[in-house]
Amino acid sequence: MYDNRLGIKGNFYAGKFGIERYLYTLHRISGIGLIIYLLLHIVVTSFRLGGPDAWAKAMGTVNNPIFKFGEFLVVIAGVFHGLNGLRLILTEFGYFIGKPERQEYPYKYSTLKQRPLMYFLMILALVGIVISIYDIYLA
Amino acid sequence: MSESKLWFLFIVAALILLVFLGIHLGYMHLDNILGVNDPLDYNNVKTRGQDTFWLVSYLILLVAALYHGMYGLRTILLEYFPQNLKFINGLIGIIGFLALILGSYVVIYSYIGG
Repeated sequence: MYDNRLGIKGNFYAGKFGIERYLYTLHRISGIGLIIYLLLHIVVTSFRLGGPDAWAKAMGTVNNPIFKFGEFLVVIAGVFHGLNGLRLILTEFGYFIGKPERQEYPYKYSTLKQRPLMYFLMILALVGIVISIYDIYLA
Repeated sequence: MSESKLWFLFIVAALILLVFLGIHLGYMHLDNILGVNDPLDYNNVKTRGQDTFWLVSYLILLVAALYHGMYGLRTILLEYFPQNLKFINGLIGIIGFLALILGSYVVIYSYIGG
């Protein structure tokens, strides 16, 4: 177990690191949000055991602006976390970062090589979020 | 199990989630675009619960999401509190286990007609 010297501050200040470092912070925040939501989701859906009345009551409780906004954040977090996670897995397995090569000036680092993938997936995430908003307002 | 195997399962769970959570979120949240009839209505919840496809997908989702999420939470907690390995393992294990029991009980109870 290594010592995280930057601590919590390290999540918010990327320094010389690029935009991917901020995505890392967002990945963590969205991940924490999603796991909290998942645990609540399991508890709330268990109200279906009580039959139609208990279900209607539980759904009535969560059917207010605060919960609706929370649900909306969950969708955004889910879409972002999923697509950013796909980027992390692809690069972890060595895709989209190029092959090792002798460095010549001007130096290229692997982060730059995977950046188009990052833009592509983040645009995809944005499209997913816009479609979700569209669906909510279509109702 | 070794740390690298636990981590590998975390990645496998992530790939499973991309597919099954994609289906689940799409169905539940794009109901208007997809023309799904009120996915939160009790009768629709009940009908889905008794469908074998949804039974299997809920169980896969439950295991994959809980494992991936609890492992991820454990990683974050361990990074900030590296001295508390046993306590964090215990806490994550207990919360994950209880959520798994409750979730699978609801899913299986719904399937057999509850």
